Amino acid sequence: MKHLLNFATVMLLGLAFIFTSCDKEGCDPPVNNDVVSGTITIDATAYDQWVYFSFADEKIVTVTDFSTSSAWDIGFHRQDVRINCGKSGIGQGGTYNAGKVDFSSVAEAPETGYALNDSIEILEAFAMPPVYVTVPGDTVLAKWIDISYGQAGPEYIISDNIYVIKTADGKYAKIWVKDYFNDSSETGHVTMKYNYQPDGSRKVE
Amino acid sequence: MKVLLSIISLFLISQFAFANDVSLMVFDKETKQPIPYANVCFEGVTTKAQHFSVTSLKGEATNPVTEKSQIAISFVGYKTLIDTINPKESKTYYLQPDMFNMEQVVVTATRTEKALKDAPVITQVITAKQIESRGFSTVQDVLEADMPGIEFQRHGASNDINIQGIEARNVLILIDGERMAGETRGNVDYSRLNTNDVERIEIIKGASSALYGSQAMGAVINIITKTSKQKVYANISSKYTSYNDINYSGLNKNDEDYDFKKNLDKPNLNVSAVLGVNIKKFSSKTNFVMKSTDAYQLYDRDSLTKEYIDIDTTIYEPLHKTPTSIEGTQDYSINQKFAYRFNDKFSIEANGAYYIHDKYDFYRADKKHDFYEDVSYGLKAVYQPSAGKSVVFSYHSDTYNKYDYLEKLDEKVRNYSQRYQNPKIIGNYKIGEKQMLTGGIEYLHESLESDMFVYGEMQTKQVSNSVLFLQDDIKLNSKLNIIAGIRGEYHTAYGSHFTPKLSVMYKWLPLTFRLNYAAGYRSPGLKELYMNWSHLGMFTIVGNENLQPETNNYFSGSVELSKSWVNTSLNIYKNYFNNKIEGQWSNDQTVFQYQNIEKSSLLGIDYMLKAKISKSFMFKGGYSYVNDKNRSDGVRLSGVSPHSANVQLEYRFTKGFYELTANITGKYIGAKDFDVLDELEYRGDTIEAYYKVHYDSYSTWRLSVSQRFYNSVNLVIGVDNLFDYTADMVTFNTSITPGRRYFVSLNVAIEKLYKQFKSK
Repeated sequence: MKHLLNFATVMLLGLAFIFTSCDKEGCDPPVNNDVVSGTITIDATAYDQWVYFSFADEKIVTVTDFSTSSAWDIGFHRQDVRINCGKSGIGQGGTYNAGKVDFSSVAEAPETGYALNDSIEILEAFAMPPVYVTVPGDTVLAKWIDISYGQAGPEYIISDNIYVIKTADGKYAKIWVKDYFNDSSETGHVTMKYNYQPDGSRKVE
Repeated sequence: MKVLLSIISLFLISQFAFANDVSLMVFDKETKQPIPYANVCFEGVTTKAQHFSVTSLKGEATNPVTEKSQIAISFVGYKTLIDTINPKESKTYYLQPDMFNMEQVVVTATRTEKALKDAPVITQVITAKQIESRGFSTVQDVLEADMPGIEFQRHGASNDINIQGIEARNVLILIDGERMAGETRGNVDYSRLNTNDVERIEIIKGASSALYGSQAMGAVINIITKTSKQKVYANISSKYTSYNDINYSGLNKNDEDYDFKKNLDKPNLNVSAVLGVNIKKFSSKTNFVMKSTDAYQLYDRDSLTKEYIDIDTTIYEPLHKTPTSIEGTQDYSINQKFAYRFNDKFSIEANGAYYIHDKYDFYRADKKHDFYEDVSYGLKAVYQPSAGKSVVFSYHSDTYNKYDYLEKLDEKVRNYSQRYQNPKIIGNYKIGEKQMLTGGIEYLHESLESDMFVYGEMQTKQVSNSVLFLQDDIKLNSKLNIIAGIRGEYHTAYGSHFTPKLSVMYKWLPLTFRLNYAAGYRSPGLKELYMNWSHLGMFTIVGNENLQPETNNYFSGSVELSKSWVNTSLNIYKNYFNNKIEGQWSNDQTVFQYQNIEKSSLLGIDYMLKAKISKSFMFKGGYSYVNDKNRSDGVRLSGVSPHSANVQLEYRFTKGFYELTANITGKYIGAKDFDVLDELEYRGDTIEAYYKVHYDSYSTWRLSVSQRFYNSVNLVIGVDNLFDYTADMVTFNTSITPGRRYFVSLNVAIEKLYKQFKSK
């Protein structure tokens, strides 16, 4: 079945190629305003450190001082998130909540309505007594997951909201933070699906 | 299938072997219909030689005796008939229906066999027929329908039994007298208790720790499984109940979470099969059960109103929007028993059971669900040198494991394993005609593997208990019966402990008076002793190695009236609990440690009435009153309803091979009023105050119609929760019924059906 599917996909792609290809002279060079999409799972299990990601590099970046760096766009610490803007950094970032909609339905980033980072409270040490600290962070993106502590232990409800964010250099991306668990059911493994527009336009689909 | 066929043909051959020398006929005294499968026992007057026989479909049996003998004919639902018979004599017997099962043998009250009417403690018995004719498939449903005051509630992620002020940890549930491993807040896994192999359920309220040990403080529920003397028997039963909720309709196979969603909408289905053989001295019984239930969510319709009387303040809480989720389940169990009877004096038995249970919760994100597993096995040897003397040696092991089932990896990670190992020797010794001594030596070993003892690590802790108990049953005369018992034990955690009991029964027929005193206790659990668990870094729950057992003293007096058409009893009791183990906060609410602190008492009245109204109508009812007093200042902390009742009206119609039973069962739980301690902001200060909570009374009704053909095919259709009751607010103190559900069940006793057609 799987093979059949693969085969069909290849055939379809081939077909698409035939229909879209043209003479070398008559065509514009391949445009670089194509949206970059991907899905990444970030190990944000540590209580005492943040993990930063750059959309332009499409990878995790090492940052010595997040507050003075523009090398990162989004940072994760357990379920906490920060974007390079406001209290979190010197970047031109921002966050907009598009609500619980289909990821593909958000085709264009809105022009305005982006919130800047403020302060959030995080658990910095899972110990007795626990250590809570207030740090710069994203209060809008904080709503991607709802963690409540019932008698049966913590309950995690993922909102499945789609967020449009601005990167450190003011470009647009839409993200869907869709998972907090790895396959072994351990928390702190954040899976993010994203579409990033490198050309600076608001087109994200 | 092949196996089944060969078994059936085997059975055929055995049928031909029988067919002559009919000299005994057994009939129902009222309907004049023959009674098949009745047990016939013969005992020679001089040589004491014993013979056993079972009546045929036509109610016939042969007379095998070669000397003047005593004959006893017994059958479930009839009074046992005793007579004498000579060699080659032909006789016809009419058995008197035992309307209220007063002749039914029960074992829970004394750990010896006694007729229900002679049990020193009032015992409630629910028979297989009462279960089957109403289409029940789980013991939980049976108890809920028939036991006044019982409620299954929701506590965390598990079902919690509550019998009017008696908590789960003070209720002991046994299968054939054996303890079950695996507990959640004192609750066993109720899904393990299927009805298809249940002969009867015996319920005793009050303490019986002298015989059963820990946890037998408020009630003992003993589930007795079936034994059959049939050469070959096979039973197939199935039940389907309508969906509770369709959580995901129009589910697409390509859905990323297809399996997850599908598992929440399993059908409410129960399929089981029992297959057994008795070949000469050997017998075997196999029982297989598969069942699944549908997950559902209950939404609150009402919100909490907190009335703080002391500070004259009322707070209206907003409506709780998050539903209470009841998981879907899927389980399989298989149970095998082998027995071998060397001779009339000595027999052995071996049994084993395996059970698995998936519990499908509503949390998609965590990619896991709970998975439970139970492995139990046992050995039993019975030596009975003569009537009134017996020794039973037994060993029972039950291991209950809990796992996280990782859905993406298809792997199980164990996080809990509890095991009971229980070798014991129990002897009965009859002294003369008036005294029966029962004694036992028992060793109970409990081990628990958990990550709650050391953070992030699985560790095993264990305790054991060595027990000696003795009971003397003295029949002073035909009217007066005194039973005294004591249990002494040595527990590795808290040392020695003694538990006495005394009961006096006086018969002034048709009245029977019973007076009872019994002590009960519950040993501190391994978690309560050794736990050291951090709740997400916010607080720590710690055990206490100095804990003593919780104890109680139970006093009761009752009177029972028994006539052929009516059986009614009134029981008044007082139950004093001491040294209750409760968690206590310390260290600025960061440490929660178990302590022996609380005291409480219950005063209760139980009234039962069973009456035959006419030839076809029977009424059964029970009413329970409880007054629980926790504290002297009038503050009531427990959500106990003082009044609860059960009623049942049964209509029965029989004609030839056809039997119709219509039954309506109602259950009433009275209003609950209690106080809850709360912390609130009041005039700028944080203060503690009590608020009043009130829950309305409610009733649920169940209607079933059973049609039985040839005493072997039973079709039941019915409605559960007829008037569609659901709780306005779902809390620890309310019912978790999903509302009205329709069901249909079909039971087929294949060998009986086969015989019917064979005899035509």
